[in-house]
Amino acid sequence: MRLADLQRRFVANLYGEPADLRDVVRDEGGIAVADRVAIYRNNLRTGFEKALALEFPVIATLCGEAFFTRLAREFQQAHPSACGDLHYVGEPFPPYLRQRFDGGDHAYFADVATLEWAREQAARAADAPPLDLAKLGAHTAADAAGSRIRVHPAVRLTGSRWPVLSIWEAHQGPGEVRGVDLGAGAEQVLVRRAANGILLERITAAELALLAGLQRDETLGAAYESAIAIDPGFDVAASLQRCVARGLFCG
Amino acid sequence: MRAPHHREVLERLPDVGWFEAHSENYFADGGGSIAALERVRERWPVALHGVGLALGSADPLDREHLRRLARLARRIEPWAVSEHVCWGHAGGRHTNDLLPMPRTRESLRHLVARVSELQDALGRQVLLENVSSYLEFTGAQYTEAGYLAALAAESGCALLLDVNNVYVNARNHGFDAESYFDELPPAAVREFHLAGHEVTQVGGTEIRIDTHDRLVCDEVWALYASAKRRFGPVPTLIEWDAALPSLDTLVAEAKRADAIG
Amino acid sequence: MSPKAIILAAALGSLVSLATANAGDEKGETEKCFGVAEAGKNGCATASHSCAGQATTAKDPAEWVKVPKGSCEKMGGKLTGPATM
Repeated sequence: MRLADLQRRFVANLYGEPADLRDVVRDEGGIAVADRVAIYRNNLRTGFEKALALEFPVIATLCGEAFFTRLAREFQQAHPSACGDLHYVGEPFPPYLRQRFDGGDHAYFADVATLEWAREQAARAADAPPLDLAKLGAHTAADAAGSRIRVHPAVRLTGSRWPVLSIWEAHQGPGEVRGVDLGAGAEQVLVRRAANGILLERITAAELALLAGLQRDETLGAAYESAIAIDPGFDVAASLQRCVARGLFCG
Repeated sequence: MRAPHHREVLERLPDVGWFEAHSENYFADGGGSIAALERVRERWPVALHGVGLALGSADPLDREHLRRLARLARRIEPWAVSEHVCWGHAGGRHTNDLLPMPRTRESLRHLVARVSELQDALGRQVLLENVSSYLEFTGAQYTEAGYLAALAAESGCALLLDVNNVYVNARNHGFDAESYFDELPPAAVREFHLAGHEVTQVGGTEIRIDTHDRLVCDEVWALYASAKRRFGPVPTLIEWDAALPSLDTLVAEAKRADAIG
Repeated sequence: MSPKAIILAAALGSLVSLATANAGDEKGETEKCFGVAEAGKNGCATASHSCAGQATTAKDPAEWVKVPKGSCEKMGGKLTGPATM
């Protein structure tokens, strides 16, 4: 059998499709061919589930072990790993959960997963030197609205109509998971990389709009318009100062 | 070296000769992991050990994966870059596993071409490692060691000999580990791996699983001594990927390896 | 100049003065954080113990767990809606 055909058949079998391997895998006696193949199938499932649980530990805890195993299996069937690097298997997981739990009691899972994936991305994003504030002085009053400020590549922004950060925080540290009132309302979260780790904090919807605009390479003027559309009293100077203090801008 | 040991390694500066890192765990554009590896590289030689390129897959080679590996190699300047004699994906579906090659002339031709492509892309010779296996494909035209020897001869690559994998396969498939060594060209072997494995049973038959989660067993130590006599004292790595022990345990295993031979 | 333009010009101006005030105090934020490296997901070991034959012979608990039974039960004040399980 040609190499490509053999490999397609073997992978199809591992993914649970009817693909006969009896003439492909040598009968060595002792352990049956099916049981030998099962070792690889089990490794495929276990390895995938472990990688997913490392990327989405809060989702794994929310689900409980048995259900997470089932969910990981379903997700793997729908979205087989498409890369030799396991760091990418979780990328389609948040949208998968959105569709999977749409409209039900667990609809918030997708937003929690989005937050967890944002942490992963922030950890792996490019490094960049901090913004040279002295250079901002070059902007005259006339072109302040037309200026652009580059947001650091490791900054991620995510918003939800559920208290996603509260849920995430309830799952940190040792001991029991604390209860969270799902009805507590929306939270917007800033994810950033600092010297002591990946930090998450609540920000206002207006501040998120400003940062999201700058992240899309909009002018400061356009980003500001988005922010005051949400909160007419938005204090842009205070917000930008907070951003600089947190190292959100880069050169 | 795995992430939980980064800080301790950099603070305690253990007395070991070098470190090896899984290439893919440092493919990120930036952030803490690659920064840590660069700090380690300032003090020790580092080898990059890939698990994801799956050179034996008939699917097209993943150019992005190769680009990231080349970028990492430029950044780290490793003393060795290694991959596995395996395949891992088909029709775009990855298993993220090290699947054994069907040992045919066709698959060897394919692997030789891929290894050459990798060596050209990196501008250096690479090391290819033998993997553990729990099955063999039908129609083999080479022994496992004969396949490795032919790969080295035809592609010009060097070999990374995983002594634990030789032992696991010798037991799983019933061949003699010493004659496996005899089939390999001595000058091609440039690095050894040692690891712990699990012994379990399937339907009453024993099988050994390459788990990298425990100490190296006595039989593998004995085989390692024999390998060292045949291939010389090339750099040896203790592999431990799951149920990570203390750094002290790892250093002690490395010292035990150095003392042999 | 429009009031918005004045507000933005003043906001940028306040950052420039921040630069002068914080000069020499940036190390903490810019130092690379090697101590918080993410756990690498790739490895070359076979993932599971007691894996041999499990996929074909062992009872699979995932078959009969139909709803999440983890910490989600502590997330109170649920929005009403049919479960999609």
